[in-house]
Amino acid sequence: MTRELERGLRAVFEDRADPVPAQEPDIADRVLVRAGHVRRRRAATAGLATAFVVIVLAIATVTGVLPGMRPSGPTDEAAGPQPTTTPSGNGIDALVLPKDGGRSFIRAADGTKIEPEDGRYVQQGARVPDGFLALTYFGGQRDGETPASTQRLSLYMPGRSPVTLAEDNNLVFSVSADGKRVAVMAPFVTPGQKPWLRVYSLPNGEQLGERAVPEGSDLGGWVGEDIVFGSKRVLQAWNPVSNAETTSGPDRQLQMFGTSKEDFGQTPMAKFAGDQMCIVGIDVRSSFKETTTPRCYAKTDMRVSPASVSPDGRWLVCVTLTLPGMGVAPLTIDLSRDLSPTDDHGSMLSLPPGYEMAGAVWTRDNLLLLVNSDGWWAYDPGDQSLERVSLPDGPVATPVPRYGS
Amino acid sequence: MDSKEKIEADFRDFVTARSAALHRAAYLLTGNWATAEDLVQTALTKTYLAWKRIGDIGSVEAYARRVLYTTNVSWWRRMWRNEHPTEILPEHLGNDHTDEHVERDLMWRFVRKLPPKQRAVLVLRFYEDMSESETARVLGIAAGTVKSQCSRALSNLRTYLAEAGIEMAALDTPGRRRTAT
Repeated sequence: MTRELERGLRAVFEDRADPVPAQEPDIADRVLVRAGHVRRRRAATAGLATAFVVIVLAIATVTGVLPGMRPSGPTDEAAGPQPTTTPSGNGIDALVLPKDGGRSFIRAADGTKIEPEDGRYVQQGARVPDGFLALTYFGGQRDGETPASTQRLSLYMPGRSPVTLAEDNNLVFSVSADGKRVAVMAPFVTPGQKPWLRVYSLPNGEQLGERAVPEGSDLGGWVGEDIVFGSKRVLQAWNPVSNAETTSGPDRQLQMFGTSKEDFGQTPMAKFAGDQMCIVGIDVRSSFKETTTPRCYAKTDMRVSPASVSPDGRWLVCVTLTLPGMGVAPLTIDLSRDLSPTDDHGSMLSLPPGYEMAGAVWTRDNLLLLVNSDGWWAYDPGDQSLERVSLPDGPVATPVPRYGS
Repeated sequence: MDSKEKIEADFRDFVTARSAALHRAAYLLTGNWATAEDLVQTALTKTYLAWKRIGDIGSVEAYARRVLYTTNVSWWRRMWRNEHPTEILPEHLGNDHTDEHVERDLMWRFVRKLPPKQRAVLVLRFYEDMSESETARVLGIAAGTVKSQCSRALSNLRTYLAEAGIEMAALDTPGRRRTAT
C-alpha cells in the first residue's frame, strides 16, 4: 500500500510539474535589480543604526544617562512596561510581523494594537466599518493541533470582547465591498466533515446563511450582495438571504478578480478560451452572461492572479502581466472604458517603474498601495500620482485592506 | 573580468541552467505558477546576495533549494494578502473527463491540504528523489523528523484517498517519465 502510494505520488508530482510555463527571458536581470534594492536598503539601515549609536553615545557622554533610561528611583521598579503607541500612518492599518519572531498583530492607524488572545498569531486582517476582522492561528505545538492548521476568524471592536465567527482548518474569507458582510469558507476540512460556506453580517456577527460547497472550492469574492465561489470549471453566485443562486455552466472557464462593489451587470472576470485569456464583463445574476465584448490576449502572455478591483469598481489591477511591448509589470486597467479590443493596450497603464505591488490593497480613497526600496506609496491610477505613506511599525508591517466607509 | 562581473556571469549561468527545475519544485510547494515564480525569484535573490559566502559553485543549488523550501514555509505562515487568489491557468484540461485525470486531480488537492512542512518533505522525497538525510539537510531539521513528517503525510493521504474511494493503481500509470531539466 505504501509503495503504491509513493508511486502514485511520484506520478502526480511529475504530471503536475510538467511542462513548466515559458520562463521570462530576463529573470536573472530582474533578480539582480531586486538584489540591488535589498543591498541599498540594508546599507541604509546599517547607516541609520550607526548614526543612532553615535548619537546615543554622545548623549551618554554629556549627560551620563542613556536615552530611554531614567535615573534609577524608587518608583521605576513598579512602573512595568509602558504601552507603546505609534503615530497615525496616513490612515493605513498594518499587519505587523515582528523580526524577532514574536507574535504578529494588527496595528491600527490610530496606534491601537489588536492582538489575539491565547497566544495566537494573526495571519490575515481586514478593516471593516466597526473594527477589524482577523484570521488567526496557533503558532506553537499543542496536543491535537497542528501549527497553522486550525484557524479562527474573529471580529475585534473597540471596548468589546472579540467575537469568534468561525473556526476550522484552512479557512478563507472575503469581505463585501461595503464591509457589512463576510463570507467564510472551509474548502478542506477534516475527514468525515463536509466543506462549508457561511455568511455573517457585520458588525453583529449574525449568521445569514450556510451551505455545503465542493471540496477544494475557491472563494472568488462578492458581487453586490452575492458571494461567488467555485472551481476552475464552474462558478456559482449565491445570495445567503434569498438563497437564490446561479451557475456559470461548464462550457467555459471563468475567474473572479475579487470583490466588486455593485452588481452593475458588468463584473470584470477572466475567461479562458483555448490559448487565450480574455477580460470580459459578466452579469452573475443572469447565469454569468457576458455583457461586454471580450478583450483577449494569448494565455502565455498574461497572468491575472492575484488581482483586484478598486472599491469604486473603476480600476482593475493585475500584479503580474506581460504584454507585447510593455514587458512584465503590474498594470491597472480602466474598467470605465470600453473593454472591446480597439487597440493593443486599451486602457491599460503601467505602474511607475521601480515600484512593486506586494498585494492588491486599496486605501479608502481608491489609492493603490505600492512599495519600493524607499517605503510605501499611495498611487492614484486616475492621475498617476504618488504620495508617500508611513505604516505603523514601519518595515516589519504590511498594509491591511479596508472595506466600507 | 572583475569579481562582481564574474559573480554576475556565474549567477546568470546558474539561473539559465536551473531555473526551470526550481520553478517545478516551487509549483509543487505552492500550487500555482504565479506564486511559484515569486518564490523562485525570492530564493534566487537570497542566493545571489549570499553568493560569496556560499563559496563553492557546487553548493549553490543546494543553498537555493534550501532557501526555496524554508521561504515557502515562512510565507505560508505570514500570508497576509487580502484576497486568496484562485488558480490561474488550467494547466491540464485536455483529459479532464478521464477517470485517471480526475483521480490525479483529487490526489493533487489532497497534497495541497497537507501542512507546508509535510508537503515539502513529500516533494523532496518523491519528486526530488532525496534520501531522508538529504531532505533533513535541505530543510534544516533532524532525519527523524523527516521520517515522522513523511509518515504522517502519507497517512493523511491514505485517509483522504480512502474516503474518496480512490485506488492507488489508478494513479500510477506506467511509462510516465520526468522531463530532464
